[in-house]
Amino acid sequence: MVRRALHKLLRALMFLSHDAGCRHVEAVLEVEALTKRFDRLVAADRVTFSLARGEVLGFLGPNGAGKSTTMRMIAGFLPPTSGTARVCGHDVVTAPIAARRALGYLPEGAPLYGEMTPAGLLDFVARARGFRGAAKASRVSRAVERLELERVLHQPIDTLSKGFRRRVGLAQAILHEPGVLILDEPTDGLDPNQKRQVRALLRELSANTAIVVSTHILEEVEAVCSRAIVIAGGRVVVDSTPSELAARGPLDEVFHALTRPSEAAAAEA
Amino acid sequence: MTAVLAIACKELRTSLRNRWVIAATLLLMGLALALAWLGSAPVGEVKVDRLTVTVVSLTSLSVFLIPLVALLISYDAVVGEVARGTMLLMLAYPVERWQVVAGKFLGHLAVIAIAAVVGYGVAGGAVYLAGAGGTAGIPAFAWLIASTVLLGACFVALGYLASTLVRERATAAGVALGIWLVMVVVYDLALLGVLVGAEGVISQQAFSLLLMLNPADAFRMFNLVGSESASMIAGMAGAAGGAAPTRGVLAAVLLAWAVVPLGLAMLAFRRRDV
Repeated sequence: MVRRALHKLLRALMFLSHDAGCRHVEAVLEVEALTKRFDRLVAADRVTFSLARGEVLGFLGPNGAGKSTTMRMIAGFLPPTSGTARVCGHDVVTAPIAARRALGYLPEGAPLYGEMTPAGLLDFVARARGFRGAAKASRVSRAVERLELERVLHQPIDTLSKGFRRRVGLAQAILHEPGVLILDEPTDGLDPNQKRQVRALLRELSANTAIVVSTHILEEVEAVCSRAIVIAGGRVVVDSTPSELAARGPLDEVFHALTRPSEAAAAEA
Repeated sequence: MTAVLAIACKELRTSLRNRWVIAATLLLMGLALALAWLGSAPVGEVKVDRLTVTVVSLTSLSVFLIPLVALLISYDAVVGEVARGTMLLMLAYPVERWQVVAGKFLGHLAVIAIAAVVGYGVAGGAVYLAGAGGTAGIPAFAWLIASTVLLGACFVALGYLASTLVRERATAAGVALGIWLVMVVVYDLALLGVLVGAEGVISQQAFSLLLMLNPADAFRMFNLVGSESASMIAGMAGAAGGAAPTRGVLAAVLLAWAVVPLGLAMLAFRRRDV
């Protein structure tokens, strides 16, 4: 009973201090046997892994492998058929609001409200996340500074380059300094210089945050990830480090071998 | 509640930026001013003030225009955001799904409220300042503005319901247009047909009840039956004298037409994959 009361008190203090960074837990993301079935199709099959602060996880897999389904379940958009995920100790099914408070998310293609300015969007996000007054101003200015958005702050997002739009997307995802950051194809469609910028930023962010990067760009895994999970047919077929994967041979060949339907089944067995 | 207000403010700002507010306000103001001046000719005949005559004219205008504006700004609210991918962004924040619908609804309702208060207010003020009539019509005019906002709420909520139930934006637009056609045009014609066909079989009470099943008719009755002068001008004195429902009942009907579809939209959105 005392333990429960202390837990409640801790949660209340977290809420009051907006501790989205959830410094009280070791594994900031725990995914346990996460499964999603659409009629007969098993899109994600008992996906299990955990992630600690400072880790950057490359979530690899061919199209239709179950990456987006798994990410959507972790982000709370899609209810799992079974299994669960916890973000900073908050179950995404039973405590979705607390989980989202600790989660930053950038969807695929970085969709944004194009008619808004970065300043307007970040102000809205800060308000939606419950920040007010000085706390709000401080969070917004910190995100603007980290993503170097000063010179486009009052320009409509629709008029920005793809690189700047991606930066605005990242700014809204990190504004509350989340414990877990989920990025769906963050560098897709960017030119080499813009990719380099985003990767540098991810390395900087990873100091205090656990980052999941969904991608099918293999060089991205080598460039920024400290860990790689390969998913095929809805199942995790490899949970390793990029260097261990590279030791098996060229990464694209390893990926191809792991994600062929027959190989994926063998790796799982 | 703060998240709801944040979303409402965002929707209102977006509507201000994309000129919905100014367009709706200018449209209502222009038509209201025209009707106020052109439609007050029978004043001398029926010996009522000009403001009351304006209420009758604006009631007819509202019945056609407000549902159309409300449906146009609301049909895209959910399905459009899902299609553009921005709903994923919104739902990544610590907000409940009902809060997203409630916030958007309040923002869009504010657009209707601004257009009604400013648009009709300017027309009413102009008629009053012209000094053509007394103050007798002021309460009826105030009720007209309030009920116009309520009528807007009904159709914004219906637009939201359509927006949460369908998968394609084009389908939502079609459904919204269908709602407008049925409720504003077809329903009254059908009712008239039934009345003529039934030849006195339908009682006055049953007729009132049938009218209340449509928010556009409930709004019309609210403004025309509720005021003695207005009902006289509109030729609804007969209905007002008999089994016509009170303003309280009609307001409750309009409120129900706003609350029930909005509740259903929240429920549908809760179950929807994005």
